[in-house]
Amino acid sequence: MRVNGTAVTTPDPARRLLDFLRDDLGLIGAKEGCGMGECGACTVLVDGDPVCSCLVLVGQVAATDVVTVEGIGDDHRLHPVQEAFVDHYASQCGFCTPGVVVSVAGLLAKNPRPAEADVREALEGNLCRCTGYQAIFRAVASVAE
Amino acid sequence: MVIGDVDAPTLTRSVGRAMPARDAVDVATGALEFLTDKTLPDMVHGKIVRVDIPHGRLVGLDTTAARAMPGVVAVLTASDVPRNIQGVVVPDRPVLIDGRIRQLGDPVALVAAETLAEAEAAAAAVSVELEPLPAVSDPQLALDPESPRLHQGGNLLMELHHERGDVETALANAAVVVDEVFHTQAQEHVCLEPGGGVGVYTNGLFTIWIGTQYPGGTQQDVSWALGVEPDDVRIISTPMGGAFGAKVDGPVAIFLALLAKATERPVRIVLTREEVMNTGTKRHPFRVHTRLGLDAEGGIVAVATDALVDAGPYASFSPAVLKVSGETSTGPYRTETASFRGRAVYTNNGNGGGFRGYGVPQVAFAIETAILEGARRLGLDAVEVKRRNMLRPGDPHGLYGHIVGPSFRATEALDAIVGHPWWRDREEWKQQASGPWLRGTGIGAALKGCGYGSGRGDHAGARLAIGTDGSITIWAGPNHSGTGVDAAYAQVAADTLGRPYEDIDIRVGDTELVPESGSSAASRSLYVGGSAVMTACRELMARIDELGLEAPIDWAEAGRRLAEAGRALVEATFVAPDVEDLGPLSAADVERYSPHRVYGSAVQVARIEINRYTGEIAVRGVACAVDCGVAVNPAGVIGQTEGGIIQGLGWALMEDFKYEDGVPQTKSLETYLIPTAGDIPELDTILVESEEESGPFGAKGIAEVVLVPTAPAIVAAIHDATGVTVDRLPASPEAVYRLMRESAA
Repeated sequence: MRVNGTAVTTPDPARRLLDFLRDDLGLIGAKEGCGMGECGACTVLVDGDPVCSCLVLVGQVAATDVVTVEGIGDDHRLHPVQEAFVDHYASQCGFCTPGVVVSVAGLLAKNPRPAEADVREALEGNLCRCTGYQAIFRAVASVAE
Repeated sequence: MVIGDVDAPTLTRSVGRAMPARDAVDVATGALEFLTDKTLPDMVHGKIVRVDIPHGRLVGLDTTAARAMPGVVAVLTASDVPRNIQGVVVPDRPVLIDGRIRQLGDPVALVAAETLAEAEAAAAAVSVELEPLPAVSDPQLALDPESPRLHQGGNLLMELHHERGDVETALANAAVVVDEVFHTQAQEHVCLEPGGGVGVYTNGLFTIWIGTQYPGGTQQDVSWALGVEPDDVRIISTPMGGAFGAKVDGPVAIFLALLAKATERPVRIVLTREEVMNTGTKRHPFRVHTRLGLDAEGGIVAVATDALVDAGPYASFSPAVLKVSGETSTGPYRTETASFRGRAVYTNNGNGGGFRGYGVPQVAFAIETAILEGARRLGLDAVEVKRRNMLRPGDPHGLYGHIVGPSFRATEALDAIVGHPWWRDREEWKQQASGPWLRGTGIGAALKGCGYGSGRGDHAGARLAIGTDGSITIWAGPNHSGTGVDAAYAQVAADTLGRPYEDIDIRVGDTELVPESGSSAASRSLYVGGSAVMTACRELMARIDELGLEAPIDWAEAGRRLAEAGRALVEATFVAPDVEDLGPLSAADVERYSPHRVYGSAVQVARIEINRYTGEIAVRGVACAVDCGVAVNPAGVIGQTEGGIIQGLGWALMEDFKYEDGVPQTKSLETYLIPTAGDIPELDTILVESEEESGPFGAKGIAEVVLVPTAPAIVAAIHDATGVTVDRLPASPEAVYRLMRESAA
């Protein structure tokens, strides 16, 4: 399995991917908001698809490419989605933001010019309680243009 | 769009410019460490042992097996708590249960172990023997003398009563009297971060990292329960993953302190979503009996409100919530005659507590919907009735008669909304409805006070240090609870000092460094805390003036000279002014009712579609005109407004925390539904500006009032589309469909 481009091994295939990322690899960007796949705060990309890492065991993704919010940009530069989130005030408390950023980056990789309906569909699995979502839509629209 | 009497600030100023939150980059990259992410060397994991009945007695507790489990470091019960009682307003809640159980999820023991899995296993091994009692689940029945008493003083937690003028005579002489009962439901905050933190005990000192809106209150809670001095407890409380009132009180900091002391190791507790859903505070369910009297022209002649409030098992902030309900029960309207009777009642349901809006949404839904009905009976337009009665600066307040401050702009907010295309073009839009969809448009209005209210000594502090390199650091409160208020503090400081925004370093959320500043609640953070920052900056400027430096100021030199004189550290306190003209109120009334000098207001238009065959409602647009004083950070005001509207939309249409005999039925995000990206209408925010003389650069607090008009506006839109009046929230498809069926029959 590769995480953010680096090959990693895990001794315990029955471990939740979320726990492996947070506790073993120290990648705390993915958050646990519900533990049952409802809130999307733990979203990561598995081979490019957004997945709730609280619902996946490490053994299920053994031969995949996993990308977390920490791997969306690079060391020197924010990903355009991250930049847009800052410029468009698209976060408030910020707890949902890593998962939202990952979902949006996953969408844009497949569909660089999504319609607003596509954005809404892509984000239906990411709950945000602070922003009312419109600032997020504005941020995504600015990147998609 | 900005409407108002404030000059547009030039870009040389910070105030008036849209600023991202100061942690926005770290948030977007995932680098920001929340306090539940925190890990310390040698840390153990805490778990809370909870009961699974809503009412009863703890008759047996055996921790022997749990203590023998692998990895277990400590197991604590009530006898390990030095002072086993807590409660910010009324101390009525044991830290750990030693007898009476009043809520499903009440804690009976704490476990700490080397790993979380070991802590969970040990918690499950604690043997608990319970004697169930019948749940008290109906607030009306709770007042029956035959009902079980949940607390020694009985089930009536608080009663508040006030009458201005002779309500019964005024109602008897009214052209129409709307006499209706309205019901509202419990709402859960659903902070995305469920809550928790890390505690450490070293050398007799506690350090607790926990997201709390009220660090000073949490410090008091811990010091009281542990029997130590407040100075021995340091609370570090930022960042926090959502708050909305959920994190203004609660026992977890005490649990962390108890376990940290017992284990002498760092300890972390992270609550599960289910724990928060079961035991966290909720927006209070209300039963509101409203009697509204109107004259033939639609003038309000009297408002009588009787509110029965389900406070749940413990007091939390219910008494304060009830006061705010009373104060806003007449809405943003003039009347010379009004009464309010409110009763908050203990039950075994969800624990009513602070929730954005703080008792206003429930009574606003009642008065706004009553006006809708009264206008219908008189053959008048409801919006015209609202405009005719709208409270203006200098008017006596409807219930208390004290004078409303000069920055109040509800009328201008209403005008802005009446001029909005979604209202102006509503008939044309309605005609374009097609298929099963009916269309309707409605307006709601609300006010809410900024700050704790008069007679409360509402104050905040700021500590400013100028470095010998000229750098500025300000420790300010209230805390950043997700609002980004620290950016606005920096804007206020930058403009008071005449320096660039980037020069100002703001620190919040640490009781060791930030002077006591109260809670980030009550629409007070920027209003009170920003004023304290401004006061500290002005004091620094006065000290620099005394140095007689030539302009432009050499800040490094100023810093060096002030340091040499021992004057480089400034501490300032701002006390929010009380109501200036009390009208008929006495000093004792001020203490009893805490009326406000400064109010913010908001008016919204909602346009909706309703499926005539299913009752499904799709909200298509909500525009909000917000009476915000000067918008120090317009991005912050718009962000608060949009987020508030969507929480109000959730409460209006879908959110409903249900209990059956005190047992929570909606304890996960699978069954408790909040708005998702698919539910979001178009939103439009209009800033209606004025200068509030007591606020920093003219600012007021608005983060609560923006939530309030949404439900009444949606209910008015449902009425416009279908002719039915919703008197019970949420307006679920089933409920609206049933009303439409009844109305057709």
